Amino acid sequence: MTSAEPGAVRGLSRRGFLGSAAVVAGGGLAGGFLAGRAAAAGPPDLAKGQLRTPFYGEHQAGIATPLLPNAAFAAFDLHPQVDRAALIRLLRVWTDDASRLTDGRPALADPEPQLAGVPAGLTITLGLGIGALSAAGLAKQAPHWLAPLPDFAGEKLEKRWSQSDLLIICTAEDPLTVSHAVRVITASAADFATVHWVQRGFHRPAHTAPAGTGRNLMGQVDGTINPVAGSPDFAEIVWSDGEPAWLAGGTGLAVRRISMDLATWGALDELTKEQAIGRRLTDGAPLTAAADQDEFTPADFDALDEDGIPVIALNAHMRLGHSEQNSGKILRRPYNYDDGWAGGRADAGLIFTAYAADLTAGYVPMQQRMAEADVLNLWTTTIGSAVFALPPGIAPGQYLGQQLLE
Amino acid sequence: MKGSRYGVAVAVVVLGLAGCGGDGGSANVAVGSCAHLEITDAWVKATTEGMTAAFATMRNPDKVDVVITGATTPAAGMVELHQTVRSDGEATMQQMADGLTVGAGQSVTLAPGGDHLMLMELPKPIAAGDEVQVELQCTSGVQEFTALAKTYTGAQEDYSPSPAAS
Repeated sequence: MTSAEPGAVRGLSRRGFLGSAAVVAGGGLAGGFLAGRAAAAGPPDLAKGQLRTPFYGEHQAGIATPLLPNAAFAAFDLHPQVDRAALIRLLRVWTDDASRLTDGRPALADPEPQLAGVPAGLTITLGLGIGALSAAGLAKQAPHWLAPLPDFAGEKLEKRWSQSDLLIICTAEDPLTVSHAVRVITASAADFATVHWVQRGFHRPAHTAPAGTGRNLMGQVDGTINPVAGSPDFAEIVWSDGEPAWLAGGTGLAVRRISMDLATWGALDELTKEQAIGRRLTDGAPLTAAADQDEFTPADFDALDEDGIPVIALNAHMRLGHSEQNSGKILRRPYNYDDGWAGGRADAGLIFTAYAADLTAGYVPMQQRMAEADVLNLWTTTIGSAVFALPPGIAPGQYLGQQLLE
Repeated sequence: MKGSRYGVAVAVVVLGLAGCGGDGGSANVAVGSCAHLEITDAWVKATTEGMTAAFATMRNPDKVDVVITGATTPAAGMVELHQTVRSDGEATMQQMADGLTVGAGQSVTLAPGGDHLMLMELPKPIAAGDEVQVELQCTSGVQEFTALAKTYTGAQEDYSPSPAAS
């Protein structure tokens, strides 16, 4: 589900489709191919372009709000002279930019104001690295987990994707909306910070794929086990309860860039792929599920095959990453990336994101287990890693990060 | 108007007949007053130099014209109302001798490359993110608003005096 107002949007889509189908039927053309063409040529679903995800609120948008298909993660390094006052000024400008862009209005001094009129559900979310707190003289206010993650086996971290002082995440239904938002945000930051990296990610948009969990570039249904927004489980896993006080209603985020060797993975047979994951490729159901059961069926990790071997292998990805199997619980909002061709292979993979009120308790133990044993590591390599604190939401008149800085 | 607070300075004091269909002949009523202007999207170009400019959209909801005669701000020693005049492909800025009129029911947008408030004799740089208080003066009344300073490199604007204008 990837729209802020799914009912309304799906209703419009449905009407558009039925209208086209009726036209086709009247013309006596019953072929599926032609019907499909007619549907595609029907009235465009422009309502999605005017979706607005509320910017203000108890929590920042883009965490509990529906996952939108296009994302950019932009990381910034503060200029050395930036102090607390300067950081406040930057966050004031970014907040003003975000409040306008998410409402479909141009930013002040917008370089291309013509691009602002299609908010497409735009979310703009701020993250603070430990460097931002240090620049403000507030390192003592950092949550204990806002520190470099421990070294994990097998990772090959590259400096170009490493820790930064600030993070802005822009997501929307429309990639041009995301591009414009990043342009405005980076222009506004010019006097304060330099861009360290921008990671762009995508999913299938809702108008091309059925609602449900997305797939990654390895073909896997990815992100089945996730707390449901609004549930007590979600609140406990994701929202900080005020340790430290300024972070109450915020959360922690680890951004991990995971490169995939799609050529060697693609050379495997389906059975091997399924055993590596522990789920069926067709529908994401655990390998222990019955044929008519879906991805949300609880896995039977004790099940053995006729030879006495675990049906879900001991080193299968889903066993090691499963939240019921260990103490780790996180919110996943991963995005695929496919950035062209480099070194004789697709430069592709996953922008993995772990959101947790306490990353040390929620994410690190699980990641340690996976780094040491997950058989998927044969085809995946973590090349980037950064950790941020995502401040709580704000009311009009406030700026993002104000709970920390004042 | 939801969103930013910058430049949202809608006058809350409604005086008597203003905007109520009067013909403007009621001399004691603050018709045509600056105080009625609705100011939105106000910003200042951040600068380290001695001059810069401020921009905003100003809507006059009344049925009489408002004439802005000047402006002041703690951020500048002198403020002038400027218009950009284009002739022979050259854009030059000149002071508006007769002030800036916001017609009854009309909006005027001050923007880079167009009309603007020229801020001169800056006592100190205006940094991005600064909140600059501006007061407009009119033939009747004043209007205050807050403008957010932003980095801006568009419109090929240069509000510094050119040392050797060619």
